[in-house]
Parts: sequence; C-alpha cells; structure tokens
Amino acid sequence: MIELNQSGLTIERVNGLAPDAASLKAGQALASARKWQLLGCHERVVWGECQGSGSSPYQTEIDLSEPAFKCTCPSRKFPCKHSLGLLILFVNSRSDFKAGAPPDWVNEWVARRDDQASRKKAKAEVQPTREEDEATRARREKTKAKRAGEREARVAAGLAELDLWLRDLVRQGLASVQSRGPKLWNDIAARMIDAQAPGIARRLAEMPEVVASGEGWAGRLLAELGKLYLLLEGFKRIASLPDEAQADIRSAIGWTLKEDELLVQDGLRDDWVVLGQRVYDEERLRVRRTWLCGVASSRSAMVLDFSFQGQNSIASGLMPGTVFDGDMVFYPSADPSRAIVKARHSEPRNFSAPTGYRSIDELFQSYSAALSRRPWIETYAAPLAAVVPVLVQSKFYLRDSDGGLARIRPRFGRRWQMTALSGGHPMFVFGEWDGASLLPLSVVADGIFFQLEGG
Amino acid sequence: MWDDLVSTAVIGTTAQAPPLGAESEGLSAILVGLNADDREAGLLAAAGLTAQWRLAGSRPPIDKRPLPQPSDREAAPAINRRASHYLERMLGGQVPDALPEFLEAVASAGKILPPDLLPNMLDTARGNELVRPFLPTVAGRRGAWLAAQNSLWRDLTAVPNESAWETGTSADRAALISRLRATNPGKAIELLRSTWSQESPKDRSAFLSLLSEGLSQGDESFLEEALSDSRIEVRRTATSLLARLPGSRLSGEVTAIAISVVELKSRILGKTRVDITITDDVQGKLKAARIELEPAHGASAKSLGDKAKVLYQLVSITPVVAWTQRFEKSPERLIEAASDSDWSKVLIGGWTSAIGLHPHTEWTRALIQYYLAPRTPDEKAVSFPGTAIAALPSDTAEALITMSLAHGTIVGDHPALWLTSAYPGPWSEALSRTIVKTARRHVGTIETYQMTILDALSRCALKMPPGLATEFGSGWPIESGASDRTVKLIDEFVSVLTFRRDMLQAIQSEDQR
Repeated sequence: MIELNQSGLTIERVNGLAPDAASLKAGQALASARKWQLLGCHERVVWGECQGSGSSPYQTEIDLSEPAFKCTCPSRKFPCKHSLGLLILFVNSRSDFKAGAPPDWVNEWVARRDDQASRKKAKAEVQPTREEDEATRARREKTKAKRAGEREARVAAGLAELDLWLRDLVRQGLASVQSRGPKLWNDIAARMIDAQAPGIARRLAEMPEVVASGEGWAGRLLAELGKLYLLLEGFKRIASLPDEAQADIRSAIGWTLKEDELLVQDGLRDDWVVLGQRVYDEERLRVRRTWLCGVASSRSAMVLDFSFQGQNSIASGLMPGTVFDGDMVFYPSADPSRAIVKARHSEPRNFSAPTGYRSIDELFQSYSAALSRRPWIETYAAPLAAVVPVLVQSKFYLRDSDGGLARIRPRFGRRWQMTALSGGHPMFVFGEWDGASLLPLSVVADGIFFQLEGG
Repeated sequence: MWDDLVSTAVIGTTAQAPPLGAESEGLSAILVGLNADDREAGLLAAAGLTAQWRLAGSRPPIDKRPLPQPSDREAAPAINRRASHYLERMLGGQVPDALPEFLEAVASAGKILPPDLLPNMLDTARGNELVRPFLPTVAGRRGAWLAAQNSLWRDLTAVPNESAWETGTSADRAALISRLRATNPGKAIELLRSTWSQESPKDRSAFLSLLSEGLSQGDESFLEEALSDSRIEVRRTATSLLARLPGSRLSGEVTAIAISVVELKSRILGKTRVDITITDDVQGKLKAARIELEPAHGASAKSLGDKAKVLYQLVSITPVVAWTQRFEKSPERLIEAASDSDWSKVLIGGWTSAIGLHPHTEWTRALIQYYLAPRTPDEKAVSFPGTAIAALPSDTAEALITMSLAHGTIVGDHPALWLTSAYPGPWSEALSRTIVKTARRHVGTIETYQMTILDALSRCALKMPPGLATEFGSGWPIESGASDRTVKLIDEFVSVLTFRRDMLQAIQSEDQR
C-alpha cells in the first residue's frame, strides 16, 4: 500500500511525464477542481470524472505505484491531458480528493492490472519448466531456428553490400560527400533496414549530421566510418569471439533479445535511482531512454521503452528523481548497460544525494575502460559528483575542482537554467557522454533534483 | 598520422595508398597486421582503430584559471515549488498579465524567485516594463549573479543606473527616464537638459512625452524652453504638458482665451443659452502665448468647421474647473445648456477631453451621466479618457460603475464598458458581484450581448478579489443551451480568478513544497 503523501510525486515529475508541451498545457488547464465531477483516492489509486465534449464524462484513473494511467477519452497522447490534469490537481491540492472506496470502474481496472502483473510474473517463473508436447516444442524450435537462420543470411548479405559500398566511398574519396547530400546516407540506411540490420542503419542515418558539423567534419566522418567498418569485420569473424563480445556485436547490428528470454534470468536486486530520461524519435518509433544507477552496486543501467509515434503507452513508470527497490536484468554484454526492470519491491521514493565521478578525468578513464570492453558504445552514463557550469570563450563546459573540463553538447537548450541552478557552486550533474561532449539530463542543486529534459 | 589518414580518405585510395603507421608502439603493432595491398580495407580499419585508440586515450582539457566568484548565499527564502509552478506557467504564456501581481506579492512576502526560473524570467523582463521594476528585489542574489554573466540581462537586476543615459540605447534611456520620473523627477529633467541640444528631433519628442509621469510645477521652465523647439511635435507635447499644470503661465493664458470666447446668457424662464464669439484674433492670441494646439482628432472633432476645431482644441486643454468658476453653475447645468446649443459637440466633446488632462470628480460624474442618457443618439463618448476614471476616488468610481451597469443592455459603446475597462481597481467584492450578476442576466440572450459583457468581464478578472473564484464558478444559467463560446468565456474568466487565488496562496504559504 502506498502512503499517498510519501510517493515521490512533485510537480516537476508530473511535468516530466507529459508527452509534449501542448499536452502539459492542456493538462494544467484541467488541473482545477471545478472541471471534475468526482474526485477520489484510495490507497494507490486516484480517480476522477471530467466532462469533455461528449455526452458522458471521461473516466480517468491513475495507479500511483508506477504511475500508470487510464482514461476513457479518445486521445492518442499518453498520458492524456485528463490524466495529467488529474495528477497535477492531486499533487497541488489533495484536499479536493475524497478518500474512500473506489467506484466499480476503478476497481475493475486495478484488478485487471494486478492480474496482468501476476500473469507476467507467473510466465517468467513457469515457462522454463512448462510441460509441453514434445512434438509441438520440436516444431516450434524448428520454425524459430529457420527464421533465425534466414535473418542471419539476410544480415550477412546486407553487411557484405555495405562493405563494398564503404570501399567504393573511400576509393573515390570523401571530398564529394558534402555535395551528394543526405540522400547518399539515407539510401544505404534504408537498404540496411531491409537487410534487418537496424543498428547499422541508425549509425548511417546519423552521418549527414556529422558531414554538416563544420570545420573538421572529414576527420569525424572518417572516424565513424572506420568504427562502422570494424563492426563489419567483427561480424565476419564473430564465431571466434567470446560470448559477450558476440552479444555486443549482434546488438550493435540490431538483434534484440526478447524480454521473455531475459525475464527467466535472476535480476540484480538493488535500490535503483532514476537519474535521467530522454525521449527521441527513431524511424517510426518513439524511444524513451531512462538511466538508472544502483545504490549499493554502483551499476549503471539503461532502460529503453518504445512506442509507435502517435500511439500511446510508453508504459514503464520510471520517474527521474526517484528511487525504488527492484530487480534489474541486464542484456548480455562485455560491459552490461542495457537492462529491463524485472520486478519492483517498493513504490518510488525521493532519493537523497546521488553519487558520481569525483572528477572529469575519472569519467574519461571509466569511459576508456568501457570502450576497451565494448568498442561500440554510443552513449555512456556520466554522473558527475561536483561540477560547475562555466563559459569559456562563449562555449559551455562543466568544470571539476581540478580544473578538468567536459564540453556541454552545443545544442543543449537549458544551459542558462543549469548555470542559474549552480550559481557558480559545484553540483551533481547527470548526463549522456558520447566521448566528445555531455548532454545534461538532470542536476541536484541545494539538495533538490531537477530534470533538464536534454532533448 | 591521423591527419594523413584523413587526407588520404578525402582524396580517395585510388590516388594515394593509406599510411599504416602510428605514433604509438601499441597502435603500430596492431596496424602492422593489416593487409597493405587492400587499400580500402586498410584505410577503413586503420581509421577505425586509430579513432578508437585516440578516443580511449583522450584526457580532459584542464583550465586552471580562477573561476568567477560564485553567488552569495541568499538572505531571503525562495517561494515554494507550488508557487514556482504558477510562475512557470505565466512565463510560458498562460495568464501573463498576472505577472506583475505575482511579483509584487513575492516582494511583499519578502521572498525571492527560485534559480531555475531566473533565465526565463530575465528574458521576459527584457521586453516588459511592468515586470522589470520588481526584478532587483525578487531575483535575489542569484539573479544578480546570473544577470552579470549574460550581457542581455546585465541591467535588469540593477537599480537604474544614470550611466545608461550617456551610453545606452534609445530604449534603455527612455526606461531610465521613466523610472527616474517615478522616484526623482527633477533628476530626469537634469539629465535631459545635459544632452538636449544633441538629441534627435524624434528622441526629443519621445523623451518629452515621458514627462507626463511625475509632472510638477518644477518642470515648467524646461517645458517653456521646449515651446521654442524647431519641431512642431515637441512644441505640441510641451503645450499639452504645460496645460496640465494649473499654475503655469501657459495654462493661465489658455484659460483666459477660452473663457473670453464663450458666453452664457440667461433666459427669462431660467433656461440658459450659450453664445460663442470666436474673433479672428484667437489664432493671434494663441500664437502670442506660444500655444501649439494638437490637431483635432477623434469622432467628436470630425465634422467640425475650422473655427469650431480651434475652439474644440482650446476647450480640450482648458481646466474644466475654469468653466464652473466663470459661470458659477454646476457641471450638470453647463452640460445641459451646452447640449441645447449648436455648440454641443464642441463643448461637451472638449470638456470630455479636458477631464483627461485635468481629472475632476464632479465633472466626470456629470459627463458620465450625460452619456448614459444622451440628448441625441449620435452623441457618443468613444474616447472617454481613462485617466479621468482612474483619478476618481474609488467609492465614486464604484458607484458610477454600479449605476451604469443597471442602465439597460450592455452593448455597443455603453459607458459601463469603458468604465469597467478604465477603472484600475482593485475592485470591491460588491462591485465584482454586481458585474457578475449583470453578466448572468445577459447569458442566454442574444449572442452579441453575451459576448460583449463576458468579454468585459474577462478583462476585469485581473482586478477582482481572487477569493471570489469559487463563488463565481457556479450559478451560471448555462444548462439551457448556452453556446460553446459563452461557456468558454465564462471558463476563462473563472480560471483567471482561480489561478490568481491559488498563486497568491502558494506565495504566502509557509509550506516548503
């Protein structure tokens, strides 16, 4: 049971849950008791009825334990404006909510959710020992193996094509690349999608940005092409590599493990601090990347959630600035980072001071060590314990007490807000490090957690 | 070696073989294993390996120069997160007109703004003179520290600095004059005098019009000098400012000329008649007195002949009290007499303008009463001066608004509309209830009527006591088929009041969250 006044909900966190600025604004407008006909709360659920344009009111309900949302409105945004409005109202003005037994429609939803959760758990536990018709299992295994074999072949053919393409490119020289525009890259990226190598396609789709990055672009482009080529080389001789290195190459190319396969493993139990979150679009997918850190294990974990753009339900309720006791299962890797939450043993709570690298140099060393294990790292968790945002020749950096500097990503829009939060004093900053610059996602200033929505 | 790899890649391996060496032994040992005959593979592999090698080996740049001084610990507490949330919404464009009220409440609660909203606040204050004066108080030490880091914000948290007069932009200088006029009006004149002969005609005219704030007898000599300016706009502005000073030479001469051309004659039955004698040398007298009249404009002046125009302009700047004294009659009697005459437009229109320069309670009351029931339907007061209404004592203003609201259907240019819009408030609960009651009376009638009063109502939402939000939230006769637009306007009105109530509560709250 959730103590309502202890759940880690603050206005900032609710704001962070909004899918976009327009939804947030609409939600704020609905965060007024007079827009609601029925407002109630009980244990971990909050509900209300809001008159919309239809004849019957929308029924909105929130399970605070993640939080999870449901609303009968037709909106495809998730959470919808009613859900946001109800939650903002709840955070701002709890006295408007009558505590008491939930109505039937709320009970049904809660029961359905509990049921789903226990089914998921049961599935995870039961599957490996499930008795099955020998013949059925054999048939299914066979189909699966056949499909996997087909994909291997298609990827191998696609990467062979890319190998030739890359050779052509450097044979002719990179000089003409700028004039050929993004189409050059988008075409080959599309072919890699067809070859079922989405990880490769994504790297190729990012090349136009490198080409357009100004002074020194050719060097940066060559570095990326070189890394891509190493990945192809790695795939050619994958069978000779250790299991974990194989897993990293396969995931960099675009194979993903089914969650079911991971859920059968034991998780790492710890108090997991949600340090930052970023939402971005990729192909037709909306991706939400959440960074967590284990309090006792000091392990970083990255959780990815996907939804089709325009559709709802990026569901996992990981709220930056909170901590929960849970089991995390990592994807196999020589430098495990990506993970899924297998189970939660507590509701989210506010956390106190997070820990981080004591200097920028420590981050660099840790990054180097990680690269030696997994050369395909794209973004790396960078918690910095005590840094000051500084302006050096009109560029923003983070500076540690030794004078070490880390460049802040030039397109980071909240740099003045970050400067204001620090006031020139050292503070905790969490960001994504890509080897050259850091994209801040959150800070802790004067003991208060702020999300900076890097974007 | 990296640079050699890049230049090979740029021109292509057809033209040049890739260099497969390296500065460091470790990397060389790896590169040596590459097949030098396969130029393309050699280049790509060497590039990938060298890039990774360099990336893994990179160390952060070090800057040992001293850091800028950090900001001092705040002396005042920041508003809580709930109050900040309202500020964030206003900065994001919701109910932006409540910002000054918000900041004033923060200042009087002895609190300051939270650091994370300061950049947005400073950006907003750059273009908003209503907000800017609060910043030195509510931005706190963090705000002053932050503003010093960014040249766009540098002056926002400082109390106006006179050095801006010599180096600032036109806008900065105008802002400085405005602010000085509120605190030390004589200092503003001193600054103006110090550079007056170098100012462009456009700036002279602009700066002069700023002097209406804090205008006093002490400004007369400077304004008298401006009457000899080469630019007509400057002379006109100086004339209208001097006319507003009752003890000035110019005001005395204006009054003398005005009352010399209007004559009132009593008739036998107590009715009065207005006679106007405009002699040809009125223009000459005006010129001799160095009076530069504004060109006549506005609806009242449109259809006037040349002589009537001069009279209209003259009456417009003559203190109204001169007429009551000269003829020893009340404003009501004078208005009545004028409305019977051929000169009603000139006199009543002129008096209406004049109370804008010389607010006068009795005259304002009499004119409003006249417009509530004009003799002729085309007698309209579309440009009734807001300054006259703003200068009324609040009980008088409220009584007049209450009276006007009871007067028929509120539509078109009904005086209640310009009265409610011009009366600055804060409004009493009683007056607020009266207008809401009037609005409820109009809901369910013709669409135009509803829209007119609801529009007026929403413009008043910022002036009413926010404690009435709940009361005003219900009791609207909207069940019986009010249009969506009506419901939307009512919603907006109530939500502005609710917003203000909640934001003020949050500011005053001792709760830290």
